[in-house]
Amino acid sequence: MMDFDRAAGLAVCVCLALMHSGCAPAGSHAANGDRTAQPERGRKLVSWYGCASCHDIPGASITGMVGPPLRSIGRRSYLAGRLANTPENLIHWIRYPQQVDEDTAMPFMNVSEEDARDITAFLYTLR
Amino acid sequence: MNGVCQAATASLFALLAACGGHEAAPVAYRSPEFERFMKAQHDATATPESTKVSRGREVFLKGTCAMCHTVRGTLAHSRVGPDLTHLASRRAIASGTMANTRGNLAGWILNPQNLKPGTKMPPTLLDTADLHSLLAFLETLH
Repeated sequence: MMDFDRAAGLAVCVCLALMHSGCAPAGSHAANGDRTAQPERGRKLVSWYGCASCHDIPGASITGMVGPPLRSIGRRSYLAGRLANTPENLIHWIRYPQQVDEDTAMPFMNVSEEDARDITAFLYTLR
Repeated sequence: MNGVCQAATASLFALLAACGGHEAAPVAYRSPEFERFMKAQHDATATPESTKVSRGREVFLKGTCAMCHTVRGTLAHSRVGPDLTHLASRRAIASGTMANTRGNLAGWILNPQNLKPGTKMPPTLLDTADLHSLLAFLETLH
């Protein structure tokens, strides 16, 4: 007879692993800063978090017209009209928009550092 | 053995219920969970507590949202658009078009025509503070 306890235990582990991923697009979950950013994962996250609901982002399945288009964002000088366009600033803007501009319409979306890095890596492919 | 099996099954259902991918995949409930789900869906919404949530509730009721949507337990009773009483417990919005995340909800509320051409929902212009309050309120509708 099949060892059902082991099978059930495995199912629980798989469930917990999936829940840990938050159902967001899969990728590496290394917590250290040495992790290489993954632009392809960032492209999927752009749709999942809803960036594309407000912004026109090449490659997304929908075209938002609420905020500025992000075509060529990799070539722009400033972010949010006030931050120099650097990777660290873009990550900060994505994670804490109200810390940059308290009146911005861009919502705080509880984006993790890792996710923001991948989204930034993707956005910088838009040149 | 049964206990472990049930735990595994319950975890799987909890996972399915919690998962918010873009696909509007069906969620399977077993009988007791289904009864609880149905009861929760029939309950009125809880009263908001934080100032931001209270303000969001006011934006919803005094703005244009309440003209089309119902949130049971409030004065919003219109049946033109979907009943939003348990919006936050849904996995997708706009008939399964997008995952139910704050970013998607914001874009949908502000300019739905662009995301789903032909939808009856009109665009809504909101003061940015009101937008954030409204999102906070909508996220309490479990």
